Amino acid sequence: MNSLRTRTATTAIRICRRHASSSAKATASKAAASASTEPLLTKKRESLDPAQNKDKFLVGNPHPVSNLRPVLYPIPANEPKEDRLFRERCERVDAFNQNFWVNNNAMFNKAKAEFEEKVRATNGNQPVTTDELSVFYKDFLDKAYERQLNYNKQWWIENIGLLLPAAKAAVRKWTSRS
Amino acid sequence: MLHRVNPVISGARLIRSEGSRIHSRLSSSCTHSLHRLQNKSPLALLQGSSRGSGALRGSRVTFTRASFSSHNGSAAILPTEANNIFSRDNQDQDDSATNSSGTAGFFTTSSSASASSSLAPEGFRDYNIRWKEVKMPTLTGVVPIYMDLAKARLGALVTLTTMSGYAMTPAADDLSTLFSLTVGTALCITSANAYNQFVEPPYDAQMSRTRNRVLVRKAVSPLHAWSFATATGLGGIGILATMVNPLTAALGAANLVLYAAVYTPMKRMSIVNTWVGSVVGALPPMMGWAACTNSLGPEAWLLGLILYAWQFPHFNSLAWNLRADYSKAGYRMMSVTDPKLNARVSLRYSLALIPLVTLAPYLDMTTWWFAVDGNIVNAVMLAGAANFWRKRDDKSARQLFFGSLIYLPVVLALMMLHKKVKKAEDEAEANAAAALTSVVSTSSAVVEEDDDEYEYVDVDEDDDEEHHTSPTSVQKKL
Repeated sequence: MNSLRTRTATTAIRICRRHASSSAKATASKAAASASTEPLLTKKRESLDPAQNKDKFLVGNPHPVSNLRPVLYPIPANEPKEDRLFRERCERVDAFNQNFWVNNNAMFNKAKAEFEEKVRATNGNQPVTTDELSVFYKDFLDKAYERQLNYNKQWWIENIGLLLPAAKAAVRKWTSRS
Repeated sequence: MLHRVNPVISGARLIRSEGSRIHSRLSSSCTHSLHRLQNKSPLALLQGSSRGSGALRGSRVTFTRASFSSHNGSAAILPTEANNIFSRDNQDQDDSATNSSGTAGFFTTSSSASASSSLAPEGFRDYNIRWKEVKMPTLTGVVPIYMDLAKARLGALVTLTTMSGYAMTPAADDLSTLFSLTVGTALCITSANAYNQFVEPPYDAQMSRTRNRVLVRKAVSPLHAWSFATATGLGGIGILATMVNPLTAALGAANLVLYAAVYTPMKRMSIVNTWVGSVVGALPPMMGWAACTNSLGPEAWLLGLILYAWQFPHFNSLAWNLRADYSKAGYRMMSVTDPKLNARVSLRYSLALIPLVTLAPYLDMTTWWFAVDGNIVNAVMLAGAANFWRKRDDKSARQLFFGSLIYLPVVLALMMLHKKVKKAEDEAEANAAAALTSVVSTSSAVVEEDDDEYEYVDVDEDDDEEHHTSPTSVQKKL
């Protein structure tokens, strides 16, 4: 019994050591790669190269702050002028959204961090309770009201305003294909 | 610290100028750690950037100056003073002078980005993007997308409440009407949910519950989703108008408009949206009742009121655990603005369910056994609501939410089980309607009864106890 226990323990330790060394190697390689500004491509994190896939509809992983996904619209060869204008309009709306949410979420995270710091400063570094956080949530929501309302109105206008041009672009695509 | 009140600046310009400042600061610090962005929380990101670049502190920009004034020794615990970063006054006072970016790039990225990241859209050039191709959905691939747009599971539950409304009518015998009602209502609900998803992708992206929705992932184009919503909406209302009756179609259309055009924008304007949303939930069983009787009697209103009251413990407990997401994304919900009101309202309406359930036998919809059974179930939910009201924590909220999910089908099933019957044939119909999904043989279809017989038998059936024990024991006395 004891020999079994020691054997499993030593095996576990060996596995842990192997894991530790491999993860250390991984972080070391990541650190080395971080010096360059090239995008990191590993087996798991494959990405299409946008430069070579300009004719495809590409969607990326969400932005860490805004949570929105970047979109690259397809640019066919000999893109007609209306299609180009529509594409650029879509890109402007995407940028508008990204702008707002990066701003908003950054403000939220900063304000929350400051609030937690203040609360912890007054109660001796204890974790902030949900009741206390509720005060922050209400405060943030109330302060952001007009900003959010303006954005929402603008977003509705843009979103619905894109429908007709999108329909026209779709009709152009179908008629040009047939 | 006083700031002069600015004239109203257009929303887009205002947001753009705000965002450009913080984003340029963020991006300059981000280039130093491009690869780390994916592992660090936005919080750490902000802390890192504020430590790293002194540009954020004491800068001329009003946005950041105010946020750090509290660091410099003001007494505010909360950012409630006038010189906080959220007040309207602080919006870019020198907006006209500095906003020279025009329509070209909103962001002045000072990063030495690689060639591929410069191809990224505006605003996305500060992190490592993994691009995937999204192809147009195939004919088979589009079906799960449509199910997602329709919120199929939720829609199925709402359709069941409609069918139960139909089943509670005295003459719930016409299967073709029931079928048309089901299909029409399902299409209307699908349309409402699809419109809702069409409007909300940037908000859905912010909340973990909704960030894998179809339009957030860009699996279909917004035009496609809107067309789907319009087609199903027109189809649903059309089916209801032609194959059921105009009243039901009008209720369906009203529900669709209420959900997509009133509730959805109101979510960002006022906490009253919860009450509007409860009306949206209350209409389907009334549609079911109207489908059979072509009228909205007091029984229909009672069904509607029961569903209306149920929405509050259901939604308020769900909204409790989403407070952080709602606050960040700008949703005005009671759980954020007034947590005590949130819990109180859910308790209030759980209490209101007691007289409502008791009213059902009084209106001759069910036997008095329903008042017994239904109130037992009410008491359980009331206990959950009282627990939530007292504790107001995540666990009690979750318990109340799951309790409400069980409550509704149980109470509707009890209602159908105890449905008050007038004759033996009616009773067979009631049992068949209670089955709902099973195929009913046409031999149980009932011939229309005369009014005389109806009243006569009604007088005889005072002994309600016999009904639910053995259906065949009811004797028809003529």
